[in-house]
Amino acid sequence: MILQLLKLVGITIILLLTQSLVLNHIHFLGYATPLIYVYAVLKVSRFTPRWQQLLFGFFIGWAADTFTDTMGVSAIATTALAMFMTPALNLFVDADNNDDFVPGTDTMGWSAYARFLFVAVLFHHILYFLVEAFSFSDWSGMLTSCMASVALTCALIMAIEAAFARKR
Amino acid sequence: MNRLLEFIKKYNYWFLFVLLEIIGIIMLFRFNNYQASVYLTSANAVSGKLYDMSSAVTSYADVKEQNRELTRQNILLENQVAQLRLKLEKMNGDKEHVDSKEKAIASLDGFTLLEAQVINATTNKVRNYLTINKGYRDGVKPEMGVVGGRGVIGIVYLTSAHYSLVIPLLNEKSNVSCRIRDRGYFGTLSWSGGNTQTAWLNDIPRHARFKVGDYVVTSGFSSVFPEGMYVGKIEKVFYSADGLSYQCLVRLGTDFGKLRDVNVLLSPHLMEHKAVEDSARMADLKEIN
Repeated sequence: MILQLLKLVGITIILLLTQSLVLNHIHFLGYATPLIYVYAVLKVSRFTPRWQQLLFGFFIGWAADTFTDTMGVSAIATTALAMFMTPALNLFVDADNNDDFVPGTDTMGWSAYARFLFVAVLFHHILYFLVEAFSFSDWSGMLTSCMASVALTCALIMAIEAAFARKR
Repeated sequence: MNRLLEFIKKYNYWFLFVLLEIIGIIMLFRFNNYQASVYLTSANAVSGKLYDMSSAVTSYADVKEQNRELTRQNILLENQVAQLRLKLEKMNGDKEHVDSKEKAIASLDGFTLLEAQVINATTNKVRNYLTINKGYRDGVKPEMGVVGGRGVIGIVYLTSAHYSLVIPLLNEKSNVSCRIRDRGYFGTLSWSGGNTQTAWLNDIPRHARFKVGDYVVTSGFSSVFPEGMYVGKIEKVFYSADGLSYQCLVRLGTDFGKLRDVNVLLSPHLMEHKAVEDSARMADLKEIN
């Protein structure tokens, strides 16, 4: 349990540093910026109390905001993602599966995890870009940025999962 | 109660979720100029619309007070215009004529305006009266002038502690000394029943030059009204029965059917003026006897 917590804290710190020092400077084709820190929210085990998930989500969002100077934007989106995570996970887990597990390719399989990841990241990114734009005046530009970022974030997370799977 | 507590316990994370999102939104508006400006702009549009709606409602509540204030301002402005007009005439020459007029000016400096409301009025008789809600306790005395935002209304006839009876222009007993503005001819305004929007300006000499549409204002010959207070407009001109003068039909400025806010002209010189007039009358009587 403590080991799992320490692992989560470690992943969170690394992800936040990577986000602020590297990924925030990437604007792929002028549109896509991967928001890799959502991976930390997705790494919370399935039956963690919802209030803990929410606080953790809010904390990660707030920390990302302080590094990227977008106070409130990530906090709103990641808190909502933390709230959305359990119902999203239930969409891709068998109804009779009552095991507590950390979502990943090793516990859910590649296909189910990829679909779960896409839905969760899409949900987060739509909220994030909506709050950031705070307007529908350039909705096509916002949608392009959002979808490009979803693709990039999903690809990066799947790459990390693949790297850990090879290690295992 | 237990069910409520159970419900709160079961879904506590929803409350936490709402709380955290509110904190996030506060942070968003507090630290991000862009979102704050967009929010404020739309909030201003919404609040502007709300203020519009509320002011449309509350303005009705203020109408009474605004009306009173407008009436007062109108009277002051009208008097100011009359005085400026006289000054202008003076600068343009005709000094003797103007000097005599200036002596007759009882400017509003000498009068105090006392706001009052008409609480009862008749317009369908030959002797109509108005009752106003100010009496001798407020300083109202008989023979003080009463004016409204659209001109002269009448003269105080009787007073009690808190109420006064006014003889309006629409009373056959009413006689107000008037002149035709910019022409200088004087006459007496009276009413003989019938149309409540018109009265007669009598005794305008046959040699007088004026035209339909000229303004009729108070002459200022008495201490009841200051000079230049608007009374009405000449609508038609007739010869008098004896053929020695003109008789003008004047469309009155005041709509007596809609009267509410009026002002009593408290004149400090009223008693003095009246005493002089009374002694002159007594002297006349003695001479006749």
